[in-house]
Amino acid sequence: MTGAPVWDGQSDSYIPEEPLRIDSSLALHSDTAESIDPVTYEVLRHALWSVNEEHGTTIARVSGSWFAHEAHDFNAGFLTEDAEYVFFGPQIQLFAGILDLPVKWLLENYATAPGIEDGDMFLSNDPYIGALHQPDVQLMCPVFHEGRLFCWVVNALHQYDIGGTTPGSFCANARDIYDEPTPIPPLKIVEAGVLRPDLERAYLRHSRQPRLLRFDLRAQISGNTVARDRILGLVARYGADTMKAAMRRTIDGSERAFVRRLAEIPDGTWRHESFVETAFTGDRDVYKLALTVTKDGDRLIFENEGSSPQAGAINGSFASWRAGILSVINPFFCFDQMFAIGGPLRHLEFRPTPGTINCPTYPASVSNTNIAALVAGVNANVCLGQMALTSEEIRREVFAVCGTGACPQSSFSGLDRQGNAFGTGFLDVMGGAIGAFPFRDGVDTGGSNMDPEARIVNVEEMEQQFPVMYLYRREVPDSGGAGAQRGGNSGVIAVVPHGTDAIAHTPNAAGCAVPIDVGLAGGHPGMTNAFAFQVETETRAQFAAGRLARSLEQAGGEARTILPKQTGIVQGPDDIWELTWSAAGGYGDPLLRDPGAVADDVDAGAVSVETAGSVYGVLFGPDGRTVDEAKTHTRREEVRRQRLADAKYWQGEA
Amino acid sequence: MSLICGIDIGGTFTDCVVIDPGDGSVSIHKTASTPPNFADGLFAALGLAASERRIPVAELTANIALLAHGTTVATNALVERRGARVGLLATAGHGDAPIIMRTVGRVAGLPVADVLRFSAAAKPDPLVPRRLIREVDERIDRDGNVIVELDEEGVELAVRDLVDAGIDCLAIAFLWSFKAPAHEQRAREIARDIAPDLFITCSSELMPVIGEYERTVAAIVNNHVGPETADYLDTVEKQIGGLGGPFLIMQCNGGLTGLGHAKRAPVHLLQSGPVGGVVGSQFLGEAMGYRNIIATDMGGTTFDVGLVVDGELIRTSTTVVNQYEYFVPTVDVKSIGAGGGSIATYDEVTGSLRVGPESAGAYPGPVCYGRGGTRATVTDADLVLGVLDPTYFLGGQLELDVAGALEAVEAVGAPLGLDPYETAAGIVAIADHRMADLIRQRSIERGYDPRDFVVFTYGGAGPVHAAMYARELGARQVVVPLASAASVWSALGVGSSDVIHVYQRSQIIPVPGDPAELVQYRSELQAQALEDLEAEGFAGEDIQLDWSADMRHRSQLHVIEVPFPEGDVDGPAVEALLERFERLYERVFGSGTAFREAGVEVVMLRCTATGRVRKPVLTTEPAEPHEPPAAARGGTRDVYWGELARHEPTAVFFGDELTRGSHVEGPAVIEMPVTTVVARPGDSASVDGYGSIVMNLDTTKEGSAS
Repeated sequence: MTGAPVWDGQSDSYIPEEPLRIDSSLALHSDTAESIDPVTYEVLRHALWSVNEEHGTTIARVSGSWFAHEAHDFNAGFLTEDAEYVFFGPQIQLFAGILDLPVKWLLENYATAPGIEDGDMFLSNDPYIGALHQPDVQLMCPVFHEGRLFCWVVNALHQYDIGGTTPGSFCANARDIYDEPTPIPPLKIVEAGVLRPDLERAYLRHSRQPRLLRFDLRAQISGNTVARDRILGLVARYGADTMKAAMRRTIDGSERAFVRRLAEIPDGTWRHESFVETAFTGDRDVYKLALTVTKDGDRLIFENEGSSPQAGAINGSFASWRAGILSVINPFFCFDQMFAIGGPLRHLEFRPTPGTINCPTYPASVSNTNIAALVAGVNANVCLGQMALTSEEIRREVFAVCGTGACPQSSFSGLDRQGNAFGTGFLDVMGGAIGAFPFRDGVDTGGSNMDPEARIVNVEEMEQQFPVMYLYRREVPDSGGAGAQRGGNSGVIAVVPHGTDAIAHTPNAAGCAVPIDVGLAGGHPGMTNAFAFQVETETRAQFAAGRLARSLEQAGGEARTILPKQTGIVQGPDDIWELTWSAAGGYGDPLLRDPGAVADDVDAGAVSVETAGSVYGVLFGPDGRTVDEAKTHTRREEVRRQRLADAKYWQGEA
Repeated sequence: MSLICGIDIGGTFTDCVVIDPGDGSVSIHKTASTPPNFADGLFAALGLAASERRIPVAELTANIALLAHGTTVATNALVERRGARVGLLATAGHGDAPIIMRTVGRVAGLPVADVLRFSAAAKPDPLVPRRLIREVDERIDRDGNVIVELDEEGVELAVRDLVDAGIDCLAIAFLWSFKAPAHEQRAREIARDIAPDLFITCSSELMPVIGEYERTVAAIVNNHVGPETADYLDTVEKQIGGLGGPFLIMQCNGGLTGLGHAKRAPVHLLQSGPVGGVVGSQFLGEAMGYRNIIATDMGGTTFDVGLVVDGELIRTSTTVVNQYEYFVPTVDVKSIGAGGGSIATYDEVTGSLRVGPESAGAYPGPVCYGRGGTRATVTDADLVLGVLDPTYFLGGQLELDVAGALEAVEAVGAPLGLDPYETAAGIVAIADHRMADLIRQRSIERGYDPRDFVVFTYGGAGPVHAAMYARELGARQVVVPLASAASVWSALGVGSSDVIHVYQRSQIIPVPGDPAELVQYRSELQAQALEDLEAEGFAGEDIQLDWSADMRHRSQLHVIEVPFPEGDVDGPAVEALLERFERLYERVFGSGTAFREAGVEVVMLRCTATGRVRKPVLTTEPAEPHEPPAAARGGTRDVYWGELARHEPTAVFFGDELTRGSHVEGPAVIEMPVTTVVARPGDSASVDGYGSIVMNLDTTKEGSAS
């Protein structure tokens, strides 16, 4: 690498420079009605949201995959003719960051050849152009009105497998992108309304599960078609210029809300660093992901300076870094603007350092991008959260980091007893936990800001579809970060093979070594992710004797260490695979928590009596339930004295 | 006399219709509901009906050949969290299922504005706190094999413990119990020995459906509302004395059931109110010859939509109450917070006009009610426009505050430079379009085009707004069913229902495959259905069994409901079933989306068993179009019409005085005691032979055809 980076999506990631350079042969519909009456605007705003909902619903329903239907690992949106966001859906929020980039790239690169025409749809999953990582396949559909490009409808949907060294396509052992699914830059897979069989065949060849890919491609086409037809219906009814005015006004409205909220906040710089472990299979090192946010008037500038150099499978694309940030801007600043991120985007500037772990240079591997993306979200959550806490107007909307700060992927696969191949991931981890707010607790297993409507699948449905049996799935007491307001607790699952003799596991995670889901304003972090593999257990003998192990200790056997990016793990019939996902951060000093609320938590089984005493300084009377006020006061004073005794002066970085 | 009486108790009003099949007369009565002693309201309504006939209540009840009753008692117990103290027995390791709520419990059923605002959403308090959940050793696998035997001692200890903790009810919900119910049944025996009076629900008996969260919650909810519902029904049964016929209870599946079943399985009673209106629309629609109906109920706080397609009710298998999702076969009624009480605001941040989702609720309600409301609502806008008569609201029971409404509406529009009338018209247009968006989504999602439907409208605010939202959908006709009866429409629906039980059990059967499995599965359900209906006294022609199968592509989770053959289930029949599945699938998802090679499976067979009961007979008269009689003319008043952007002298009619065949041209306002029918400029309205007001919409006006 020599010279200045060129952000064209070739070596360095694509970062569009506004205004876009679009060849003038592509006719854009940029006319906007000069004014739109407030009633028509409000009617259209709702109609447009409703069109986009229909787009999302269609994808979820047509797609075969659990990722779409149960984990919402997709999103749909629509953009103006020059690819500004109008709306996107309430599904996986990281996709907010990636629906516009590839469209902008298309506009800048393909306007003349192969051309962007009515009836076309473009498929892409190139992380250097604008995918989070290769499994997130995007389908982009230009919408034309009277020969001019009026707007875009776009979606992205996570594919269970699109190739690479490991089933599930999170290739932890990849040396570079050539060990991973081959990225596909935008490809005109639907041409003049016809799905090209040659390109579809070539696309399906990428996957170990081409059948799922085939369903999903149809789901994505159906979604775009539904949305395009509905938008054209509205155009016919209200006129193109009025529609465009409604779109622009939606963006302008959320821009105005954003700028106004920024104005409440003093200028300044906020920085947070997270540490993640193991960059690739076999690695034991720890890496830094840093974010600096500078607020300067009505602009926010994001830099990742100080992040570790690109290091292997743990790298995340630039698009995913930006996406992590946007998925925090929305809930903190656009909570009443239907997440119309297009407005704030006019005031955000991204200045990544190339060659870093969260803005790598081609051909660095990026298929495990989810970690870098989520941790970008964590860093943004801390920086923007602290920033927003200075504003009376929006501080209520701030929450500490949710329990998917480094959401662990845990793919598994194998052959069942009938010889059929199976494979999926433990999506239970989407159960997450919501971080604490300044005015109330977070939510135990309540999901996260990465998926506002997160829904985990029933154990029975999992067991119906895959040869596993769940020993348990439950919440983990004490896992949520302590605080004046408590962070949400997370959950744990444990499975044994059932109906197969062996299951191959491919964990892909970070956040096992160091807590990622930190608190705010003195709140404690939530618990880390944890993989456990207990081999040669007594489980089956216990079954026969009428007992079910409720913990690994009860199951007997021997514990094996699992590294977060290990490959080649095979679970036999007597082995237990256990996965605990991380919990959410707390808000404020736990010693300031209302003792009555601690007692309620103990009663509800969310906090143990031990933690109540050691962390919250709340002690109980002889009945074990009634708070002993005097002892509690003494204990809390004692903890405060101890804190002062332990305090050290800052000596600079070690 | 052999009267048919339908009574529907809602949160606010108790409605009653009495139909005399002899002369086809329909009398309607409305009185305030009396929570928590709902029986008082019921008897007050019967008292009104008796006094109108100038007979004692006992004589009236003796003349009632069928008392059909929908009640909100169960819903109320759950929503107000006043229900029983429930204990739960669960499989070891899985007792947290109803606490985790599949995570989605944080936002289930909430409006999208709350979904996108994290500070606004949290999980509700647990229906069963963790200290009343006990895990016992036992395990069944997906094929119904016993992997771990039931720990009977453990069950005994757990039940004793829970009884000591003061539970009133016990829910038993083990994993895979719908495949092998023996463990749940044995646990119940043990519990009965310990506490013979405990109200116990086994999940496998109540809802034998795959999905432990929704099945467990169904069992818990059934318990939660069980004792209060049973007490209520006992009270009514005792107090009502001698009835001239059966006393049946409305369920959310769109049909009635006997008292015994209603007390055992009260989960079916929840949310039966909104369903009653859809059933009534189906009933009247059948008489009028309408097969496709969008049934809409707009009240003070909510807007409910249900569909009748090709004469059939559209059902679904889960519902959400208080963010808890559970299995129950139910008529699919979608509700949004968009009633007359929706609040209009000027959004300062974006400089725009917004309506809802915030609602002034029943209290304080709109500004014009004069009960302390200060923020403009949709009803205030209606009043400002002049479509509501301030002196004739609820038949004159409540004098509306026009000046207050005007001031509040003006305040919303002033920053936008709109005068109060433009503002009011805008508020109404926004609310009506939102409702149209909701309806369009409901119908298109299921593969139907709303233009093929007739819109039925009832509830206090429905007939005021229907012309606009129906036109927006591209519908051509709006029916205000039986005019005045539209205000008690759920009660009429309840009175026109049959006894219905839905039998279903999850069982995954690949198709095409061995038809024998399907045949056996069907005959099991059939035997159960016939046994129950025969025990309730139905026989022969009065019994109807309708069959459907939930089918999906293997590895997909989304299912499509497909009619299932009643006759032979052989190779060709299975092939026909597959073809039906593909046809329906492609209607919903687009042609070319079905993909048989992926494998297709039946995941559930369903028998909808109907026992026909005596139906009210609606009489029709010839209705030659004519001018309304003089007695129906109420002069004119100035009404502001948004589409004309001006006030227009508008004819006012008294609905109760309109004769069958009366025809009026819009713009016109037809006033009735509890609602107002608004015919907009270009539309017309006439009273048909049944006494319904049918509006024909001017379809040359703009209406979204997409």
